[in-house]
Amino acid sequence: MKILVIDDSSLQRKLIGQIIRKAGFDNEILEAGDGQQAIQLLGINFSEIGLILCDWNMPNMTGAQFLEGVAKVPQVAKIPFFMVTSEGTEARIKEAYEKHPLLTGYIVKPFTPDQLREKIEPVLKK
Amino acid sequence: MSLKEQVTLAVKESITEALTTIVSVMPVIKDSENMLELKDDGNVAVSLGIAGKLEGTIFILFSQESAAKIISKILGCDPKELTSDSLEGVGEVLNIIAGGIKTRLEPAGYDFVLSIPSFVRTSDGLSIGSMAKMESLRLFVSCADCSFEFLMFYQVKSDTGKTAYERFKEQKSEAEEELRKFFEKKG
Repeated sequence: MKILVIDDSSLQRKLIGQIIRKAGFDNEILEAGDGQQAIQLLGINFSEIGLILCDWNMPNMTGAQFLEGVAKVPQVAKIPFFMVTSEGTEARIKEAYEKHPLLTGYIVKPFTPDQLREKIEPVLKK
Repeated sequence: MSLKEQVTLAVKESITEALTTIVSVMPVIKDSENMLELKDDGNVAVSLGIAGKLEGTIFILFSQESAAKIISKILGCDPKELTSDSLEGVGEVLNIIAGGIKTRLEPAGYDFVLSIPSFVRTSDGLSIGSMAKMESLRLFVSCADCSFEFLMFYQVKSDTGKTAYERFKEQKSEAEEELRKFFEKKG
């Protein structure tokens, strides 16, 4: 199973990759810097991707736009999807679940490695 | 609590939460009265705009050495292993701090959206000021062996719903009108 990490910060992508590795998972990690790149990667790898971690504020195509797109396409809507963003307001969290009712979870930055691991481990262990 | 007190509290709490979580160090935050100015060799500045009920710009400024130290702490590597491009990672530090500020101020009615951070690197000194008459908050933050300066210019969006640029254009027209009247009287 591949993991798609979408964040315009290469630091954040690297950090998430490190946390996944240190948790003992050696899944291939695909990295995208915005929603458009993510669509390309998802289109090619959708049958192998088993987890998506996506930032909200990104250039070109935001995480919210990408999330909305994923929710509308049955082939990819069932892929476990976590929003990972610094915006933790109730309004934003509500908006995310409205856009994608099957959203697996909403992770607010900053997070500790343990906090991220606890959220994604059940998906990776399936 | 005044807006200034609310913003100051939100900023300090957000910086503390961000640094204790991502680098496991409790920061020391001090008020900084003067215009921010870094004179070391090589600086990194990141800015992020806010727009909504509260509007303005937020900056953080690091020496290149401090930027490398904080990124290496986040990634758990030696600062020497970092490339110069890695320094852009401090943009994410500002993004996290700004998100925390937004989360804290929204319940008080100050809702705003965040822009994507912009990054500037200079080999010389750098000073930052605001052209507009905005409130400002300047803080010096030290965190183990690295430090940075935080600066926020902000104002409440007017009740007329006009943006700062629209008000600027209006003020410019008012100034032109005043000048015209002055010279008409004179001449």
